[in-house]
Amino acid sequence: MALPTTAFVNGALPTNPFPLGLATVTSAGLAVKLTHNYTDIDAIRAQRLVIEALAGNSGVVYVIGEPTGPPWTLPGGGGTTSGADTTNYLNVLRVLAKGETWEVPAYMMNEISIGHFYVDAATNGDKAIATAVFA
Amino acid sequence: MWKSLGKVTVPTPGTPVNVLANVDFNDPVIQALGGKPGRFSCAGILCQVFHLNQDKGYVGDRADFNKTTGVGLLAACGKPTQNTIPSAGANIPNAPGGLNAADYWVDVDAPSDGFIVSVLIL
Repeated sequence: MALPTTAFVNGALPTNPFPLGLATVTSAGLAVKLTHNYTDIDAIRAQRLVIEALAGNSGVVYVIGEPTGPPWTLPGGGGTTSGADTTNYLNVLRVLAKGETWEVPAYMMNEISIGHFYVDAATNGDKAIATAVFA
Repeated sequence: MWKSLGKVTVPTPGTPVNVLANVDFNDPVIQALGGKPGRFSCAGILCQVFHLNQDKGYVGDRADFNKTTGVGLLAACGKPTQNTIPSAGANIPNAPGGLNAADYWVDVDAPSDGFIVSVLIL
């Protein structure tokens, strides 16, 4: 069955929590936006974002936080990258081992911009799934 | 937003390194977030042992914290495995700028091990 491309139904997200679906890093070094399955939710803010690296992965998954899309210019003259900075990790928020979950906390009302989160991986084909929770 | 502060490497175990060691305070992004030497206000901080570390890591609240005696030690994080990458963090939900990331240092047991550090800015 083909995936839908829009998340909103009649002006609202149909569920809360809302599953963002699977993000597969086809090529290690090329980050995938967590919201890539939908075209209309990048600007949405959530109270929590739950990201899980699949237990069947071969290596680690890098969670990246960037307000714009790649390529990203690294601070300090570190050049540009379209994935995780695996030299100084200057765009990596957290590394997930296979099977690990990070429940990204905002602590307050909807303060997590879900369109700012990307995943990259050390191994081609590794995957993460994500779910957004709204206050 | 969550902002990465990069990988903080500890070249010499027993000599803690400040978690802002990688921060370029001339970076406009850092400046826009209010970061300055000695003061980087945040609502939360996450210190995760580097996934390729060879041994344990420690988080402390002063430049000379002692991982052995425990003076100034806030948390000890185990050696990462294939399925677990330990971390330590703190947050103040009701005070968006209530933490100063500059107040945290990391130490390790194996030379050149480190932490990946990120902060939550509200």
